[in-house]
Amino acid sequence: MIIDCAVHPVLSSERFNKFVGGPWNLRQLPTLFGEKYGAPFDQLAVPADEASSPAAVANCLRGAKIDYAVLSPTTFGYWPNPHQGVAVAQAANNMLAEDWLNAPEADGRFLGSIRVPMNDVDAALGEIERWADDPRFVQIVVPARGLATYGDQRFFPIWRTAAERGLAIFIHDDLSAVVEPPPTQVGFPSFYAEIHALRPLSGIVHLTSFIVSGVFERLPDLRVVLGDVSVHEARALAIRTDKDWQSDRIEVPWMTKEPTAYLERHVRFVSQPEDEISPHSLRSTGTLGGDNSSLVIFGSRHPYWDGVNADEVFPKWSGEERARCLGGNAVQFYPRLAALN
Amino acid sequence: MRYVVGAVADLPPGSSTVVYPDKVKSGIGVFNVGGQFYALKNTCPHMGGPLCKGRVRGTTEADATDEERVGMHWVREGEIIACPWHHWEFDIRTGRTLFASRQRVRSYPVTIEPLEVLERLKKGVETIPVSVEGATVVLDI
Repeated sequence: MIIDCAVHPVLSSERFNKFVGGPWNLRQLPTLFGEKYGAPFDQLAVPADEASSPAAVANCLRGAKIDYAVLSPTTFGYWPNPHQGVAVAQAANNMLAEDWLNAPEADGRFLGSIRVPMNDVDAALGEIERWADDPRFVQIVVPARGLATYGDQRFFPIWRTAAERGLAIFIHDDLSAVVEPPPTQVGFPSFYAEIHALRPLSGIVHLTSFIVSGVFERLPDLRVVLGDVSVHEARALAIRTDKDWQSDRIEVPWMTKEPTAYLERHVRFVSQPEDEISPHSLRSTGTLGGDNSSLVIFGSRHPYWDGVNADEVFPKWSGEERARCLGGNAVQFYPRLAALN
Repeated sequence: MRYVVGAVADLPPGSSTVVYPDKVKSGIGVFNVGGQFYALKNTCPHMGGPLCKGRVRGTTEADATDEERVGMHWVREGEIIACPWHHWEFDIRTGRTLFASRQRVRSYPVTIEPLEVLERLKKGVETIPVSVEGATVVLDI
């Protein structure tokens, strides 16, 4: 079985404006995908009308022998107007359910992600409740470029609800946001090539925050998927955190295990270009950390130009390891995917 | 062998000292925790730092009684030794780390001997500090 955990349907602006309603549609909304740092080429690997067509995407997945695809449309991160933020999240969810999950061409292959407004936790909880009874929604998607670290107490009710309802959390870099801090601690990169390479940064910050602030300790059932961080980056950081862990414990006494132990239990990583840290790695082990093949889940990042196909990932790993990445890990990890088997 | 550390009166509750018997060149820390004496090897299992020269203090404990939020308390004041090099914490009473770990500091039995026993020990022990009178702290090495 192949499960594609990162497919990003493009919500076409014209149609989205119908869903979002007034007054938000009285003027043109910013396009819901894309990077403010413009690449000198089209970021879509397929024609725009195919990226926003459920039938075309379904056809593409069928061609790639994908059994299930988890869809997470981008919605431009944080919206400064909290009412608009709620309207955008609701519209994205309505449109995803109506146009995509219900699409006859999808043939039941499409699974959904619940968009939530992160600047209004109560509204986020309301939005989760609105969709959580629909088993096709398997996760909640939150923007990697947040305005605060996700271990922060204010977000905890969202994570608790996710854990209780069997929804995974997908932290995804929306490429850009309506409002956001500088993309790095040292300000603004100059080039698209820079910001494209630095995409894992925000996810790494949230991962560390989740571990250290005790969210995983408090919610043993919470599952987090990082969309833009490779297992190697995360391992390197966790090993670094492990190293000084006995010294730092006094500040965060709720942590009872080594940081790496939380990572291995609670977090999975969508396949990234740097997964094969050496093009000659024959195995998932022996590079960095332990058995990495159990922590990576396949995500094509369709329709973006920097995505991968299922037959291109880990070409030198054993069949068993590749099968885990392509489907087994996801089935085991997402509480709602387990029910598909 | 037995090693005389010094007079009980010189090691009041909350104090500690490090002694250097010939057999344990890196030293042994002797602690008075609330009137009970404990001895740990002066070598941190982490990087070999002079553990017993570190700070005797308490530590933090998580409070999870409210499931909406976590809190912390300061507990066990005077029962924890923190290595001066990297602040690894050990329970003075057991030499164990504060959370599950295979690493542990070697500990030694400590006894308090009255004056008459000290007199008998004088022949066998390595050193007897001249100032020792009355009840004496003695290590078994």
